[in-house]
Amino acid sequence: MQVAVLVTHIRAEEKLLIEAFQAQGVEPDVILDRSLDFDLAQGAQQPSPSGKAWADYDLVLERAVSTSRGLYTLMLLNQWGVPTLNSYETAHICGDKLATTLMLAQANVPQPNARVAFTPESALTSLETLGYPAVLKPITGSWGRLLARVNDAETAESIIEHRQTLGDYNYHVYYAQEYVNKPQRDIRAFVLGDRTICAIYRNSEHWITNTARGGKSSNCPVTPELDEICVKAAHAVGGGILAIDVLEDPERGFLINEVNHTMEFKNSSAPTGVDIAAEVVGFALNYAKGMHS
Amino acid sequence: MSVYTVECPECAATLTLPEGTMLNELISCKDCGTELEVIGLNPASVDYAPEVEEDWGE
Repeated sequence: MQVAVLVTHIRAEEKLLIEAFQAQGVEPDVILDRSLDFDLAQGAQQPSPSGKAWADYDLVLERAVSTSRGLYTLMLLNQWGVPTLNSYETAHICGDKLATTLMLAQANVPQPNARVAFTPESALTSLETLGYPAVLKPITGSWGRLLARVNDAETAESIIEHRQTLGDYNYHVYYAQEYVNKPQRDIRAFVLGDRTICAIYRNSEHWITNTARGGKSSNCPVTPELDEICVKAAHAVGGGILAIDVLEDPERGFLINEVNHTMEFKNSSAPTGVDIAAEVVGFALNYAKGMHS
Repeated sequence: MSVYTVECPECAATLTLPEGTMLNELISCKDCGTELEVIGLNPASVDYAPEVEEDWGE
């Protein structure tokens, strides 16, 4: 079995994954995204930075922290028939909040109400329609960056004015989501294929509960209800190795907030008692074997 | 690898790279907290970790 792990650098998660592959008797090639240099016409027979041809790999596990490098690499490899986890399709949907919302809506997966607009004026109208408070999110992005809780129209005008001054056109796509009055926590569930292997609560007094922003993790029991909505959400975005962020609405129950395709999990194995790296590697190896059968 | 020591480029603290340290692994200086990347194992060397970019995330 020839496996490559695509990384920006080795964080705790990548180290755990590499060690889990080694425990299964597989020595993965670690490929740095900074060393990538593709001939776009040559296909999978061209050498990868490891010296092996891309076509030689039974699986490339994409763990780049750089979303753009990961996405484009998956696009190329999938076009050339190289098996990857996740797929380009899944990563592309998960990397774009609008696309995620759209796919969840089409699969009738419960989620917060959301709207999109493209000018400051229409964004204000969009927020008024949604109702305050609301949350303005960058269409791409992670770790809670540039999330803004918008309590009223005056605040909205200020945030939109600031966003307009940012050079990247992505910030001029105004994705707004209703604010869900969650109980000072949200749920991060880990889904591999058709199974929710474990979940954590991310507890925080701040409305942003990302562990990257200080949220504290504790075990969340995977009930049949939680498993069902998380697996449904995973399927809606194309499936694979995914971390699903779930909000608990006092009236509507579970709502899918976001789906992450390059999940971080170093703080989640201890509270859940689940060896997430071993589970991911087991899933990845079975996936690779299935591609050959 | 054996246990190696390196010097933090920020504060000059002596850091020990434990057994099992991997090439391109991120570590933090125990004294100043600077995030570093292991760029060599034989001989061991570290440099400042790359700055976080706008599209980084999960």
